[in-house]
Amino acid sequence: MTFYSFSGMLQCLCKRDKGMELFLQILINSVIVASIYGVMAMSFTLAYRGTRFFNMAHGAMGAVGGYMFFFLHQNLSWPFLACVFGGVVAAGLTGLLTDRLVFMPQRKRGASGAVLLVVSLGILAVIEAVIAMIFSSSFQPLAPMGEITSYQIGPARISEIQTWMVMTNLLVFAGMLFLLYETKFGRLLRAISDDQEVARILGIRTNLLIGWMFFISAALAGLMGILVGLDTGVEPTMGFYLLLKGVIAAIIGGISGVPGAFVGGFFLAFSENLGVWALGGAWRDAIAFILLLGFLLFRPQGILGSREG
Amino acid sequence: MEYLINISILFSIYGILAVSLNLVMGYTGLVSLAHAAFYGIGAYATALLMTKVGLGFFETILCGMLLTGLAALAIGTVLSRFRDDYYIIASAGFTVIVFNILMNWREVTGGAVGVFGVPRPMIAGTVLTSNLSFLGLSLVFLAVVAGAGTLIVRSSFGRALKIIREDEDVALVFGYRPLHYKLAIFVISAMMASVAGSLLASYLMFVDPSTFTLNENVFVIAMIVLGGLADIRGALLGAALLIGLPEALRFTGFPDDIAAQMQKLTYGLLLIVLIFIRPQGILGKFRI
Amino acid sequence: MKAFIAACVLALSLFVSPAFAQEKPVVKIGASVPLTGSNAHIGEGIKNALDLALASLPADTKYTYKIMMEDDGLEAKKAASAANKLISVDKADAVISVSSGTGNVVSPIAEQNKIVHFGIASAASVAEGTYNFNHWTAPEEEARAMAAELQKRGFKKVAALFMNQQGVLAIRDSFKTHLEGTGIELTTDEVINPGEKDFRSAIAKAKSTNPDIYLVIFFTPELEILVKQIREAGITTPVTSIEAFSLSNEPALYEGLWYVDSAEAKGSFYTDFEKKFGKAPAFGAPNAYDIVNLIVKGYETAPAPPGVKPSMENVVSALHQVKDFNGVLGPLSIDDKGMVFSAAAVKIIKDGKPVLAGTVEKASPSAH
Repeated sequence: MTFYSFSGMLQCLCKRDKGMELFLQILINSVIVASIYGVMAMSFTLAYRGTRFFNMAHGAMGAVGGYMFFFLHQNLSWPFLACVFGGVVAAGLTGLLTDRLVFMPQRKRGASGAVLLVVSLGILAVIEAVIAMIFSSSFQPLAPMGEITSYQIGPARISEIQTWMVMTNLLVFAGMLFLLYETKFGRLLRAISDDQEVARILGIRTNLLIGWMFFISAALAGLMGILVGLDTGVEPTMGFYLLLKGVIAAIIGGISGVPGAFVGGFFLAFSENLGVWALGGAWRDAIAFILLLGFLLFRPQGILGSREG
Repeated sequence: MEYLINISILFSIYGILAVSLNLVMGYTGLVSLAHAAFYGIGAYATALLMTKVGLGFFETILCGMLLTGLAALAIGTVLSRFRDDYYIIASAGFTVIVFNILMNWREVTGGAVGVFGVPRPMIAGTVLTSNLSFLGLSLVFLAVVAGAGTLIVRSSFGRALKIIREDEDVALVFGYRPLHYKLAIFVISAMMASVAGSLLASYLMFVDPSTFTLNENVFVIAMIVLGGLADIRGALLGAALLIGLPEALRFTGFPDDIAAQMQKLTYGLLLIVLIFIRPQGILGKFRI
Repeated sequence: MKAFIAACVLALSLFVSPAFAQEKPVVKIGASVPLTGSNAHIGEGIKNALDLALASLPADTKYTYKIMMEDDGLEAKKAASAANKLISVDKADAVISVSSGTGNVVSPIAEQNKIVHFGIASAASVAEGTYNFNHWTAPEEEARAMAAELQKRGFKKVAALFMNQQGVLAIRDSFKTHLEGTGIELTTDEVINPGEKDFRSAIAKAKSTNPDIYLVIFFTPELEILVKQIREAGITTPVTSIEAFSLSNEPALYEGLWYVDSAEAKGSFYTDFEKKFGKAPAFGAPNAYDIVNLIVKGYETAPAPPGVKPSMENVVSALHQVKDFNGVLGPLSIDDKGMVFSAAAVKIIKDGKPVLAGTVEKASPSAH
């Protein structure tokens, strides 16, 4: 009852004010985009806590998830949820594999953050190339383009898959908070992100835990890759874009905290969409990076400014 | 023959880029993703000043270097606040912002249309229309840049950079001010990248924003990591290998879509494998 | 060792000897097209069209014609090395390029090497110089047709979204001048970068200006995503475009919508093409087909001693004399600037296929 009267009220408002309708639609659009950025930022942050380097290959896990879904759905005709599960697990395992094969041996050698970043660029190139060789480099929608289902919320609209994105964002946020703060596993994760040396002395198996971090973080990126693929489509190079926006959201929110990444995603999305409205659609990426530089210069700790998780 | 000349010109342009970025990345230890922006500013300076203002090629090179130098001074000052991975991400921001300005400031840059009809250089009244003569000119520029790079790294200035790279605190003890040195080499390197841009604009007789992206920057980083960090010859070797590879793949008879991906796969794998077996690159002397 | 060399020489001579047996001189036509990346289907369509054109040449031509393909991924820099390879390594006698971005790079290379170059590009600059020609319906012609059609159908407020790309911007500039004095208002004039996947806020902005039609000019996949997001926003206002609906691989999205297209190819071209390759010709394929026939026409009519290829100058002047040539895109004439003129067509998507709009009832502008 409250919802209907609320939306009725909004519609009343908007008959009077076309600008209000536009503002609400932009707000909703921001919430949708914030979900993509938020999940990418939270999953990125999770792995960053344990490893302290910018993993450029993280975005590629989104492409792995999306394409595995595509393969299972198109070629093996698995049921929808099984395809989603398969895509998520494939992304998670790929993430774990990159850690076991490349990052873990490099960590043992004491490689710097810059080295790990350069190697992760190599992994990104390899994953993109392999996907393109299997599936071609063209863009492919995961859902039929012609089927359009969207809901009216007050004067604004949102599609079914976008509703799923928003819910995923909220669930991942709640789930990560629970995992990190309410479970033993989470306490261990936080212990190693605070100090790996101490954690090792205390007998925590850091590499096993970091492996789990990679798996969960990549799996979440894979899930977002599938959702983005269902909303628009997948292409082998989609990961880099997903990652950059995720990293920016994580930094402006406060790099090592889950709430920071969540808030950062929303802040970035809202700024971008306001910018699109005010300056035009061509400036979206420039706005994102100007925001990033502004934060790095004037508030490097991010919006929530927490140095601990 | 014409074809080999074309590849050699591309090699000399990327050679300049690789040598200049190596000064910052290999010798000073700063992994910069802002280099594509400087490359672009140089290219557009030459393209616009030659077509709109009617300046000669060599004048536009100087203007481009000046402009890029000023931009690098400003960007370098901002970047000096960051370290390691934050430095990389922040520097990427400048490439994205410059790309967007080139793409959207249509009144000046021509936007996505780009600038065409960029003339070839003129020396003593003769225009270098043939690619062979242009190759000669670009090799001269490459030699000058590589020579300047070698002089820099062998000078006391270059030694100071290496000390700063290894340990900034030690550098301070010796009386070097890391900030000034890092800024100076950043500006010099950017001005060299600008020369590469000028050559590209005049060679293709056309520029558009699509060349000056993060991918292009990562491609040059791959050249350096492959050829050798902190080694001038290594940067040249890396440029030769990565420019030659896709051209060689044209002749292998693979379907083109696969060949293009094989190139990407190869350089990705090279980056990963090299970090394990030879982190300093084939000829390099330093590991990041 | 000597035996080895002898074997090599023998093998080489066996390999080379068929070339000596040929009586007619060979004219090589090289094409620099995207065979990789998201536009690979364009290159494939052009390759098929070139093969089809070659296969349907009469047997009694003075020369033998050969096609060579090179990938440029639709990138300027790769086009430069592809064109150089075609001209200097493969010794092409004529080159073909597709798109303004690559055509503008190939033009000066062709001019310098004195090789005939045909662009398939909206930018007129591709035809600049003695040796360059361009076979594509000009942006001015398409923009004129769009403005005229909007006026005819009674639309008053147009919300336009353009992709930030050379050919599209050329249409945009010309379209704006053609709107002057028509009483049609451009309520939104938004330019969006290629690669963008989220148009929702740009759409919301356009929607708030109450347009009675949306003009969207984008390539695949941006076009499909944009139109899908327009529908998701609950907008039922008609959407129109220039060319783009024909290029899309999701024609069902535009069912019942009219749009302006480049010149329409003869029906027989479509049926022949589909019969041979099992799919409809992609962007530029009919043009590529015509270009082969124009080049052949140029070579066959250019004066030359028997058994020798004509000089490039003679080929060029023969090409400039082409009038009302029977091409698949209508009667073709080449003007002194090297432009091949062909008229724009108004089409409608019916049952997922573009058909000429002449036979279809006119849509009336719907009130918002």
